[in-house]
Amino acid sequence: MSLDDATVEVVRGSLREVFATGRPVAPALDELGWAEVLEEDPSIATTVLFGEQGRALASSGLLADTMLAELPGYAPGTHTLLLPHPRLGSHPGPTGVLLASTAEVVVVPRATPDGVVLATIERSSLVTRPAGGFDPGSGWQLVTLGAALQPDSVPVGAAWERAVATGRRALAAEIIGVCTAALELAVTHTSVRHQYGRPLGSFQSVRHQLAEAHAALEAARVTLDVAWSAAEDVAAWAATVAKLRAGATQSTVLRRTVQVLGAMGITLESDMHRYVSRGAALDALLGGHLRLADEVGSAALAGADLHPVVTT
Amino acid sequence: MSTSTAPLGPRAAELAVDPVAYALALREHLADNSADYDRWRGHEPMTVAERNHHHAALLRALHDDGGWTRYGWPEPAGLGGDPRHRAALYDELSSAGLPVPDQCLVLETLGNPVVHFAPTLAAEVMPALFTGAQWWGQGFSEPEAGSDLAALRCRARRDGDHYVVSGQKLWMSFGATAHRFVCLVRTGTPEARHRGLTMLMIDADAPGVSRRPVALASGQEEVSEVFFDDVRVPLSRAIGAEDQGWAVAMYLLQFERSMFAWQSAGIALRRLRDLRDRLASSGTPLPDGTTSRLGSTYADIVTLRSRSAATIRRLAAGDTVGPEASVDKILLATVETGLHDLARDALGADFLLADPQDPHALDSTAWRAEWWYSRSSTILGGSAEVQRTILADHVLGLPQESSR
Repeated sequence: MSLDDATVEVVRGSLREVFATGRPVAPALDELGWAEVLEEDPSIATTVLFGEQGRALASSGLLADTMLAELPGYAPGTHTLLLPHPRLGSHPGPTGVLLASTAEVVVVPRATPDGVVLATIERSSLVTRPAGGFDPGSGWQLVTLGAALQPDSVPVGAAWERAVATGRRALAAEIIGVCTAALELAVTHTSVRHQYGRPLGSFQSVRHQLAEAHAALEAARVTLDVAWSAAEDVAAWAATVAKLRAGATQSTVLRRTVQVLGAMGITLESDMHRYVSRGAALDALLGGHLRLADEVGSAALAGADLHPVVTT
Repeated sequence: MSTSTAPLGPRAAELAVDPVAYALALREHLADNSADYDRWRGHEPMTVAERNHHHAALLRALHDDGGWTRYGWPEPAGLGGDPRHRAALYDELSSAGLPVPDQCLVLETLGNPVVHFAPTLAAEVMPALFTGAQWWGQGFSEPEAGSDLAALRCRARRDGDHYVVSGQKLWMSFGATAHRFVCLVRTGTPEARHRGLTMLMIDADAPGVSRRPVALASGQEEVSEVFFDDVRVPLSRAIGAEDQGWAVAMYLLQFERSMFAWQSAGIALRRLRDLRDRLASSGTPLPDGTTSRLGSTYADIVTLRSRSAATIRRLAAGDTVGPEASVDKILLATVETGLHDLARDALGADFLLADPQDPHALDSTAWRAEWWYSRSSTILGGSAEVQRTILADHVLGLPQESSR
């Protein structure tokens, strides 16, 4: 099944409203009957949901919920997932990130020689500190795990790879949302702001920078579409490429949109800085674009199939 | 008028309506007859002219054993189907480690307007393309009309039932060996700019045609300059109506920006595999950053394939592809420059110093020639700057540049 264009626009409008009010997202999604929309068309539903979250610069635990759905036995709302620390890419380790979620029970992944295992732990027993840093609005909490933990660990096998792939597709969509809003802001600004007696957007250097940003954004969109429709045996690989592409896109787009806003782009007075820091934060989760490029390149040199991924 | 008598498989009718079945059948054919195609694997002939003829023989082989080159083109010359059949041909060739014939690069650009605007002419001239007996060159640019194509001056005046063409064309790919040229010529006044142009097919052996190969910096004669000295061309060789050449050129660009990109992406993936194999077995430490650039270049190729596949599906569905196709073109240039810069940097001293006469250094010599050719990806068919201006004007809707 798939959603028709008109329905998608209605859904997008409702989500935009939800994120604009700033109220908790999870109950609002229940009111919208989100479960049905998701079941009808997971690719479009997820892409629109995370795209709108990115556009609104909202923070939530949706990413963890989406990944948990691939790991049977956990209920979003009750459970949330501890994400690997950005310095670890997609590999769970002794440190992690909790997203803005009110769930009381945390699902903690750990890497073992036999693959990833999961354990649950009460949130109140975790040592956390708010992640301020580059993106103060992320709502993240940084977690350092104690030594004595998780007697109840259960192996999840390939489900972890599926959860990571799902998370990477969601993050790619959110990055695209962030960049779309940033580019719109840059187009508006350069169309109305005048210097030397003409709009900034009539100068070729400005026009070309924004055209490059547009091309990068379209590239991220279509690579994500392909990742959603990829055959099962190549789905994780395609999701990695889509995340790599989106991460590289935020770097390209936001460098240009900041530049064309002039000094305004680096002040607190314009929202541009929020797009920049959110783009960087989302890129860092589950493997930043430079790390993923290195991983893909290493796999290639080790003999991995350079799969064509897409046909006409 | 030649009609092909080469045998088709028993499933021709089914394959013509089903691009996926066609792709699978072709894959099976190439696998079953792999040894017959070995002569097109490995290193290519040294000169462009030799390579053109070598590739023409590949077209012949594909044509004569199953009519594989005719799918995706309308009857009677073709067997029916849509652009996805052609996309599958190029992709299956690349996957099988075979070249996409040079002729197909031009065919994808010029074949479409001929079929669309001049079906009678198409029925006459296209069968020879599918067998590799003939190929075409594209005559758009001139010495005084590069990016500013509407400034072109090569003139065609009417004389009875003929046009008489005088002027010159530049940068024609495979112009030194092509059998016919498809040229954009001026039938109106120079002041009429893009409104006074007509698309004509001109035979390369017509009296008054002369050509001069132009060597790229690699020494390879990839392009030519072609001169027309009162060349008589029958009115029936017009592609589209007189003075409507600009619309024909715009129609053609849809295919140039998607199918050419798709072909190039397939070739690029084959060459990236070649490069990876060579680097993985080199036994020497790779220059800093090589691994991650290999990963990014692969991702760039997947992105280009994703974009051009989407555009080709739109064309197959009958949609018109507009200025947004400049994105395809930018992504293609990203792949071409990225891949070849990676090869140049990663191969290092071999790239720089390999002796062109050394039979053991053919791979480095080939990468060197391809590197120079890759520089054209930001110039030909509308420069990188033109593509960005199109997106700024027609997609982003930014304020116009005041000087234009």
